[in-house]
Amino acid sequence: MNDYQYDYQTVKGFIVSCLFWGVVGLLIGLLISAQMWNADFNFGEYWSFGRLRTVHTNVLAYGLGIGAEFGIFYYLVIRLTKRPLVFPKLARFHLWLFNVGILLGAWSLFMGYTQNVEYAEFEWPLDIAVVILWVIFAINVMGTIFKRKENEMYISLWYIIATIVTVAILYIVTNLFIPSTLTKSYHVFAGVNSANVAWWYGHNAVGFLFTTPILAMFYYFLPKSTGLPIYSHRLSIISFWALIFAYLWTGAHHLVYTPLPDWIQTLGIAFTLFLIAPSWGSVVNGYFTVEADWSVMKNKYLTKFFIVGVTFYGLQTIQGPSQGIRVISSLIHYTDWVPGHVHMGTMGWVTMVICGSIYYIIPHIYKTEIYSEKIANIHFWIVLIGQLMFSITMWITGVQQGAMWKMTNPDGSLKYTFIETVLANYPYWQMRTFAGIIFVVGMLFFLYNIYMTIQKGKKEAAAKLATANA
Amino acid sequence: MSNYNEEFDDLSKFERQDTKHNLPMGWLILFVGLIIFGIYYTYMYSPSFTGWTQEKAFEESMKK
Amino acid sequence: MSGNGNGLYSKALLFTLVATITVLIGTFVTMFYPMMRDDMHPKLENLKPFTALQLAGRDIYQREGCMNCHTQTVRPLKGDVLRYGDYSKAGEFYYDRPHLWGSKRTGPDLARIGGKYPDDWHYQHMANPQAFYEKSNMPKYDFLAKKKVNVSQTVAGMKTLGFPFQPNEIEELKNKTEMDAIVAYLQQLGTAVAKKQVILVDEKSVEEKSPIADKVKAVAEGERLYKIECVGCHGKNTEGNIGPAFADSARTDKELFVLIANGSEGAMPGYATQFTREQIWALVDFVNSKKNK
Repeated sequence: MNDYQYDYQTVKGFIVSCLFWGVVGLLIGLLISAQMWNADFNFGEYWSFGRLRTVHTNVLAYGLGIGAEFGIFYYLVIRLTKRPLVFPKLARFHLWLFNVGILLGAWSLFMGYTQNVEYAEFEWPLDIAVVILWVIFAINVMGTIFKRKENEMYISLWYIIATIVTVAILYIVTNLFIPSTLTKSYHVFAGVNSANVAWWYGHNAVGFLFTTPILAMFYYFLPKSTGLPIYSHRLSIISFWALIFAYLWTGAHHLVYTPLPDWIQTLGIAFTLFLIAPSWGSVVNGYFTVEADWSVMKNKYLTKFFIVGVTFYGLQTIQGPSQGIRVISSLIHYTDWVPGHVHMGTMGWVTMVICGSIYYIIPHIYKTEIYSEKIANIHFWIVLIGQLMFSITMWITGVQQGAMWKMTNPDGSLKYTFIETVLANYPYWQMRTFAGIIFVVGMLFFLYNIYMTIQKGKKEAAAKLATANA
Repeated sequence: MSNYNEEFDDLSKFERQDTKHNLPMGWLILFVGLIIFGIYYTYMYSPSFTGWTQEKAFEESMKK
Repeated sequence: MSGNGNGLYSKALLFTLVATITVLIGTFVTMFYPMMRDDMHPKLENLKPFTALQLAGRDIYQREGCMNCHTQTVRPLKGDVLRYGDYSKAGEFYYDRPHLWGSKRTGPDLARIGGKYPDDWHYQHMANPQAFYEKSNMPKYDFLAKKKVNVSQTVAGMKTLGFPFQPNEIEELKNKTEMDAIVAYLQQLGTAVAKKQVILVDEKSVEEKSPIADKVKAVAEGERLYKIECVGCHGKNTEGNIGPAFADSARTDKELFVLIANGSEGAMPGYATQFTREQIWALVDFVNSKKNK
């Protein structure tokens, strides 16, 4: 019947896998949020906060986040290059390796095999696997882009290329660890230098795993789901180059008031503030795009996922840079403000746009319509409420914590003992667990909707086949 | 191309042509303003330019 | 095709190269270049490499993810220095691979924990933090006391890091538990810098007798503070544990005040940075109320 069918098996596989890991990561998130206000939720060696927190961050960042990115990029790239992947079988292997990798990764963190560099916790044998994984992905995507049938590369492809290149550099340099045994290794870099490398990595891992890839989705799915073209090509260009240039200077804002030399901190802070401009370039571009016809916010249910998502990106990129400034850092650094900030980005921006993209892709590849727009709307509002509650309670308690840490009595002694500053968080931490439950419920609506859409697509395809054969 | 059995994305529909070269003025002011502020900030808080260090700032704060 | 004559966006290889150079500029200036400078590799003169037992402890600290809740860097900020001691110096971390500065203080900073409390405090607190702070959210690490140190991994680590060690050190290691190791690690943290308590009470300024007139109120306030901070060492009912029982205390008011305020090296931390003079006197009155008359 057809000469060639686009290979969407890998795309589907990644989407299903990332949703699975998403559920695992979210449930662990709920558990550790409860451990914060009651130590009895720690169950022995393996199920204690110290180990589970890294399981939570890694499974969600790499399982849900990157998993979704792999799947969505395989979809995006073939459509924007107007050709199939150069190595479809390699992509299948990539999917398989990815799932084994996340499984082994989560298991190894349970076991306590960790390098202790934030977001680069996997021990050295897994690092090698991650590099292989990334190289496979790079060969396939870059190869497809190089051999594309479309002359021009659309904005999304710029962000995908920047992601692939930068993550490779970041990951390899930071994971230079000298192995002592199969499960233990020591950083090539020591002390202050180790910290500088670690946060150059840490911040840019956020930048190039949760900003540039999500922008790639945003620039593709916003016009696709609204039917409105992107407002300004020139704004896209300036934002892109300014963003990827400035990002790499900013890691030191995680190390404000540490023994890291002052000039590196200062450069980090200055460039961090500058990042507001390119970030808002994309936000403004998104707003102006939709300004051509605001009715799409009502008529096309997907629009709000991208517009509200990019709004949280905008808020995130004002809040983040201001946190870098010394005076604000001195108050909120090391407090719960920071998890509040992070979760606005991950729940409000990253997950929102990923969900929107999956809502777009799944009906498309199953050649059907979404199962229920109503459920999608319910999902949207529930996760929005959960995320806002989460972030806002964390900001309040973070400021309170920071203030209590430094408040002094008239004679110069500290007003609060440390344990008092901890206990003051408990009501907020309990509220955060509640907010997390709300968010997870919202995500369950999403999963149900996607599952039903897939079933619907399969049924329709079977029916079509039956009529064709009849 | 029909042999791919897939409708293609038309790149020209992704971007507006009439406003292709527009840069919103407010955004441009933000962009330039942040560069200027960045230079000022780097100058003010670099030990080799103004002599500011976080140790000195700390000693000052302890005198109060 | 929307080719607009700008070649960069239709030449994938060139684009990739330009993007790579763009991200490498900041990488070079803020990451590679500092690496070549001496101020990124300073070492304090009296900083010692880890002993085998301490390294074993550090490995356990990493394994248990302690840095997810505890930082190891005191900032040059008044509040930090009051609470934890002198701010961290770059030269203290020469042997740290990787650094363990952390990013979140769910628990207190540990950069100056070494020598703050006696060993017993750590043994008991690690095993059951809630005995010290009733509602503490720290998990119990009692299982560490039941596990022997992984000797072969530690030896491999010492060799990888090039730290000097004696054969007898390794022999001794075989009898150590993981709890011994982590306590040894914690007790050396931050000790390369001289201890500094910002507020020290001058003995001469201390009255001989508690000057607080309203004893009932003072004892109540003292008991409140005692319950927050002191039960771990002196017992729920002041019966004594790591620290002495109050019943047999023979100390005068003034002696008690100076002890609480300035602490006693290796036995008890000083609380002059934490409590006001009135609060310390209230504690003195509370101790007195528990003495055998």
